[in-house]
Amino acid sequence: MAKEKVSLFAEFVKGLWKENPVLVMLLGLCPTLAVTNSAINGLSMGLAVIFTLVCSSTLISLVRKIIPKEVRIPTFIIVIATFVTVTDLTLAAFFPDISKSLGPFVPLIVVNCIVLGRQEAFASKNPVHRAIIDALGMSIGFTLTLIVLGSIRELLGSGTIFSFQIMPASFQPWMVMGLPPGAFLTLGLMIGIANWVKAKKQ
Amino acid sequence: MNKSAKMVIVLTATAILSGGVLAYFDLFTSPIIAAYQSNELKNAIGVVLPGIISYDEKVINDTQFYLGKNKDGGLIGVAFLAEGNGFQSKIKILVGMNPEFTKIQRLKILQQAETPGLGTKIENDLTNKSDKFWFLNQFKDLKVGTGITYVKNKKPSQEGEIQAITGATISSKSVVNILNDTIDKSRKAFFAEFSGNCVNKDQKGEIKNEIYKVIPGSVSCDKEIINDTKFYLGKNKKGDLVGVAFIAEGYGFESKIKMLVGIDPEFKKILRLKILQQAETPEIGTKIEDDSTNISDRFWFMNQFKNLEVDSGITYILNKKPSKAGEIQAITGATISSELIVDILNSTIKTNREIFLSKVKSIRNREVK
Repeated sequence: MAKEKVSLFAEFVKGLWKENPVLVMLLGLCPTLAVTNSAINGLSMGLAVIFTLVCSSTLISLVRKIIPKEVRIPTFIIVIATFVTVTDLTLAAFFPDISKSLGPFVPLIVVNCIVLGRQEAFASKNPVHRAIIDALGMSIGFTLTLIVLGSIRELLGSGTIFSFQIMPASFQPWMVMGLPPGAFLTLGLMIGIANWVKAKKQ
Repeated sequence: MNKSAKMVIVLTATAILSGGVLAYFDLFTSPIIAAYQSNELKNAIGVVLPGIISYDEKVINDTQFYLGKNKDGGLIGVAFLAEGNGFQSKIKILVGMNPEFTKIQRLKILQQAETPGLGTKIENDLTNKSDKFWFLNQFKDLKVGTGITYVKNKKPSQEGEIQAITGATISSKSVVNILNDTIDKSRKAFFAEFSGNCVNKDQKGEIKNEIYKVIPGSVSCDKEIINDTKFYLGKNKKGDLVGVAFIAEGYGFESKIKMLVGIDPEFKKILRLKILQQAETPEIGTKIEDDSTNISDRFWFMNQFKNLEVDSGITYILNKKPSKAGEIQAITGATISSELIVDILNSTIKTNREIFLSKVKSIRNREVK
């Protein structure tokens, strides 16, 4: 198989940049836009997705041969929903503040296309170790993008990053950055820059 | 293996496993989540009722009250939840008030998801460097006797006034409305429970609210049955008797008319009158309750009885404005309904005055106690 020639390292890094789920594949935009009004929210959302994606990919890859292809989508969804609910309950029990600030977007990871997409495109066709590496790469790529987006919006929207004061006291926060338009503007610029860098490389 | 059997088995097994995992996790996390929530509530009650040592919980009319006690066990504050819709989310506030319900001690917002950077300033305002919580702090020790009002773009100048957030007027207004509504309801529920027993459970509180309406200024009431007639004694916050209410009923033009009469303790003038039941001729006799043809005041007929002197009986005239004390204008086209109401009132007030005033001394004595 041609795929076996791809090194594990390449499988991992593709999610960070070349096939970055947000910047390149434009998947999972709903949580990306909704929760990134601060860096910590972006990181928390990212961690929740890392956990869900790695667990789901591992399990799906393990049982990939016994799932009939006619019912693969419902099976994926049940598996994903189970891990998401586990994440949601764990956050509510041990990190109530994070759970509060992410609100309904944790349960909504169930319908995050990145998670389902990786099962369909990768985990259901590859052995476990590759599925885990792929899941890690993709979800870390997602997390990094959310942290950058969250940091930019938090910096301009309230002058802080991870709640540390960065801007001088005289800085007047840009209200719009905390609002949905700020998310769209920033994400649009980030995608633009990513495309520009790519185009320059070629 | 048969393909469809395999599909059924795989999906069923997945679902059962998933259910098992979730049941286990729920079992394991739910006590932690519940403990966190009750702890959070406990802390919030401590915040909104400063100085309390312990609190009791009490449910009155489906409303949960937290009664804050000092170290001698005296009631020093009452907390309850107020919730309602804000600009784009549900706002849930824990309100701490003094036991007289005349002033707010502290507020704490338990839940809101208003517009980030604008509506969220109701909870904390990062743009205000000197006081992030300036909006909530305005409610600290705020007197709410006549309800809370808000002003825009200037400092509050009157009692019970707060300044709305620029750019988040609707969120500010929602907080004020939620508070006004809930404080009013809670005050009534609380006083009815703790300072009177005028209403039996079987009446489901329906008549209670009407009693407060026909005796303005009353916040609690006692029921007194004298010679088989029920009298509701309305009291103000200090516990003084400010009015007496009773039911007057009789036959109108084509139906039974039932009214609640609020009268001063000397039975000299009607405070307010409220029709509880009537089925007079639609559009004509029903004007006694609500006259939709009178645009300026649909309730003009009832309003005539507001503070009407009844010392020497009520009289009515047709087609002109009343000119004497105790006089009202009858409804054109519904003279009989109007006349019968006057008759019912005159006879009931006369009978009840005799019954009540003969007993008034013993009641007064009980009041003084």
